[in-house]
Amino acid sequence: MFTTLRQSMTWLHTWSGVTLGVILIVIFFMGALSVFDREIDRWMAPTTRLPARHASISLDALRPRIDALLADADQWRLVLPDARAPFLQLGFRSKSGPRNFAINPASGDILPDSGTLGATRFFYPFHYTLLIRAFNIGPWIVGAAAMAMLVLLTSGVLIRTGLFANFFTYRPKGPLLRASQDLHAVMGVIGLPFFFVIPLSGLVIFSAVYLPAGIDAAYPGKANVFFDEAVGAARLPKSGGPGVIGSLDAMRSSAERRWGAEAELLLVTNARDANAVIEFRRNTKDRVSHDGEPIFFDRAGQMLGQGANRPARSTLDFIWGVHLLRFEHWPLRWLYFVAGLGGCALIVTGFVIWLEKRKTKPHPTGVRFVEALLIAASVGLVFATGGFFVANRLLPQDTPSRAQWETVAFFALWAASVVHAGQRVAAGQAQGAWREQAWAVCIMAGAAPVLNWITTGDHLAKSLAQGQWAVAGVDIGLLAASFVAAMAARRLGRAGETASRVEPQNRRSAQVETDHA
Amino acid sequence: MPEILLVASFAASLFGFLLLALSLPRHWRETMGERHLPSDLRTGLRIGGFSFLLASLVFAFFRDGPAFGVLLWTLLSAVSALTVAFMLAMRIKRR
Repeated sequence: MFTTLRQSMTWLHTWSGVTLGVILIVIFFMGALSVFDREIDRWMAPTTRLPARHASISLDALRPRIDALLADADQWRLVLPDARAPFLQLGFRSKSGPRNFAINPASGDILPDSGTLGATRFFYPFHYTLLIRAFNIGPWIVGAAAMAMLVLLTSGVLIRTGLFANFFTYRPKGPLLRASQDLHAVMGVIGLPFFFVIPLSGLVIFSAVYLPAGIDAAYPGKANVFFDEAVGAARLPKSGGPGVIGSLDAMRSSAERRWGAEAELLLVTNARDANAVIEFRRNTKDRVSHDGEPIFFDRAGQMLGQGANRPARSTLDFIWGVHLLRFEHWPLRWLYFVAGLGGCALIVTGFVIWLEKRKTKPHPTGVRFVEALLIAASVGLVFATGGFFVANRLLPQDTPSRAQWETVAFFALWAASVVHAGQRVAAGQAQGAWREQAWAVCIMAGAAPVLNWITTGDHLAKSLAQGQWAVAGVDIGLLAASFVAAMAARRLGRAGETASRVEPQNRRSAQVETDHA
Repeated sequence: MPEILLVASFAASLFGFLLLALSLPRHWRETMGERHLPSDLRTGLRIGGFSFLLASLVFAFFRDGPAFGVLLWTLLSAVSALTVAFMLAMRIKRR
């Protein structure tokens, strides 16, 4: 089929990109947003915009309230407050399904339900499941896209001519095709380490989902035993006799003494049984590795064991940590965000190259379909995300199933973007579709900070003065998106005008061509 | 101190990539307006460029230790290399 390696790699690069690129844009974009998930949560749930407290709160003092909420739950978890999420998060499974409560650490009061999924329960699961939960299909699609990303990078490097001679070559002034080719190659080569490590570590995180056979062969039907043994978890069988858990504060300080670090998470199993197990995990904000070093106690506070840190496990913890960035390192957090958006730009420029080349063919099959899809997956996605922020501020707090309505708004706007792009591109006005959707992004992203001001009173100057960096940062990000969208829209408008002024003949014939295609 | 090291690490990698870009015939021609790049100078620019990249890595290590340092340096270098590419593009536009 192909006579040279370059030919076959070009084919592979082109078609894996065209088929899975749209999904990759969505994954990269949602991943970039997830970098600031806690900050976006603060913006979207104003009741959780609490001052960060440094004094550690007494768990024993909170126990009566927690026990009242738990009722007869057998297992529960409590996420302790930190600088990015300054409140306690209680989670357990009740008879009516999973329940979550946010607790104010200062008063011990339950914070009112914010009626939003926020970033941690919308953008973040979107990033790795595409919100397709049926039969676990979502993670499999994401895994295929991650594999495709690795294939794209490898084949891209193999087909690149003058990898080092053209390392910095970017000629934005020339024709669109050449400028896109330059930008695509420059970004791909320069960002190669990040773009390679991120999908690879993502695949490693889900390795037990993608490759279950190894675990299943050694532990048939008992994968949980494997995971317990892998982290050195202590488990006790249920005794059947009732039991009461002793002082959680004593257990926590004992664990914190061992770590020399603060606890982040508390997990209780067999909560009402004499054989209750209480697990504490440390926070990992001072290290890359996502290693909670779990410590297990029985209900009397006697230590049952500490998670063993074997070489394979610590390697995995490091790879997980690189991808999940649970650490506290603001320059790195921003760089991850920028690099994630860079990934989107890389894929979009790749599509532009394919489209520009394809358009010169006598029968450019699929060009309009792919261009409409690209518009919806890039600008349209940003537009729908802006709409999600706007819906979050516009929906009244007491709307029944408010969180679902936000999601509906997101997908309705995204669908509108698909229809608009499809219609405009079919009419031969692709440039108009790009421009109008860019203006739509400008309006949506610009409206969100204003609505935040109106509904919460936290305008940018106030949140900056009060050191509410999460709220201020999200506002600034939205305003920046709005500004960039406006610049892009204006440029697209100008480029459209000059193009029609300079070469009306060509455009008309191109129009005829696409109509006949 | 951590902020100074951060800026130093970025500045060093920016300068390092600038030297490496100048060691490439295309960019030497475009920025210096001279056709010929003597091979001694090219070698010098490359040694200088890589030394500054190494210095940038050392600054990142001093700031954050090896684990965070490598991540920081990798991403900072990507940003500075891209900045150099944009700077060169702007320079061509102006001339």
